[in-house]
Amino acid sequence: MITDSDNISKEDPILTAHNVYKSFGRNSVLRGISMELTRGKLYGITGENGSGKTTVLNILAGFWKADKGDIKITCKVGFCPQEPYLFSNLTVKENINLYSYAYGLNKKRYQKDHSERKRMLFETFNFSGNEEKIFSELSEGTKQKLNLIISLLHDPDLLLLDEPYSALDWDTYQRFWNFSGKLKEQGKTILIVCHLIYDRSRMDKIWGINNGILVCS
Amino acid sequence: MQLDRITYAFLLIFKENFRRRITILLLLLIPATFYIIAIYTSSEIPMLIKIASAPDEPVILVKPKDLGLIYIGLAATGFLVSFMALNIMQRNAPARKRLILCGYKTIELLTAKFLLVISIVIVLGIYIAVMGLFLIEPKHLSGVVAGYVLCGYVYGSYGLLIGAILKKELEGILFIVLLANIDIGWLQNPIFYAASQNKFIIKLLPGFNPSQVSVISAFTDFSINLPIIYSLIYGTIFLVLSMIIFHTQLKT
Repeated sequence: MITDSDNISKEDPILTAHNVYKSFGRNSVLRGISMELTRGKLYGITGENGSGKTTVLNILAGFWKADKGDIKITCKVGFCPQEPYLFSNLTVKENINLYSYAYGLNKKRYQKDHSERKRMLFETFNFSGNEEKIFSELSEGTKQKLNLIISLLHDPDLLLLDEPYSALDWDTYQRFWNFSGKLKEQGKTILIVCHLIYDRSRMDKIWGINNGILVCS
Repeated sequence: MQLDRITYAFLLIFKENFRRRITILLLLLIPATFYIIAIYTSSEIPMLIKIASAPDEPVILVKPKDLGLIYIGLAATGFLVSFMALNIMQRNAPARKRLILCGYKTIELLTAKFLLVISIVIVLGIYIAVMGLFLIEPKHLSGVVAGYVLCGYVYGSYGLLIGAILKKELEGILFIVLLANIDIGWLQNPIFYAASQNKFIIKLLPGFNPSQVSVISAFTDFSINLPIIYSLIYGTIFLVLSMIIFHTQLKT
């Protein structure tokens, strides 16, 4: 997930996928997907149910393996899966700490920045007051907020988000888009997968998936 | 591999499993229920049994109730440890994969899980053996406890293996209950074993060596070195297999 991100100009792609194939049994879902993502852009992938949107994102994130094809990522990635894959019997704080350990943010030299970033993310998503709650007892919307916060903890350069605002309330939905705008200004890249993209005007590029192939829309 | 990450994962996997009420309930109820059933169903009229793993299979006189208590304790240990190991392996698999994607090393998680299972094996083995001590007086207490701990080790490793192979909890529990029941609860018990037509198959089952350690120690002065070594080998084979499968599944 974390690769060297220095010495890359704004025009150089930070993610390149070439001819990616994926099948589940006899069902061929992806039939040669290719794409390039550059810095400071907001991309979208849309498509019908079962078209392979989540498959694309899971493969790009390294969560699933492609049957064939090349994927090259040259920056720090934050992945927010569709389902909040977190530990159900741990508290919010414990989940955050565990993933912070995974990112290597528990080291002394990162601790101050990490605390500051956590505070900022909690404020951004209006999340304070949930730290001691058990994850399985949270509402769907709160789970999704935590899912997003965990994908953002390590200040990634590329964010891969699978239906990130599906369970969010209106206020958090707006906060999400404001924050995405700020990230874009900072040169971060965001790829959003969604069933319906209401916010087409915010996107720099949108792909649709048709018969397992990405089509510009 | 970082020690602080292993320690933290160990602590949180422990919390994740022991915060479930069913786990605590099972830990308290199963050994007590098993012992009560053995107390009220087995006879006190002494009978002759063969010690299968001692030289020349000597015959000794024991009360079926004492024997039943030893075996029922072993069955409780085997079932509980394998159930908990299954849980440790199966629960939150996607969250675990995400954790690895975010930077945790598979070996760090594996080590944390392994250490947790070993801790459970030791604590549970001693706990169930000590409960049994209120009901019988074994000749060699340490050997009886060792048998329980070894039974936990073999069945804990089996639970890890089943958890690594099967994704669904129900199928996993079925495999555990079936084997623990047929093996320790039935075939290893000398009452059945003595009259069995094919002892070779019974000796190959995972419960054979740990149960021999406990039974020999409880009623005789024979050496328990060989069944201890075989138990360790048996458990380690299960353990290594489970770790290989787990590692392969989590490769990103």
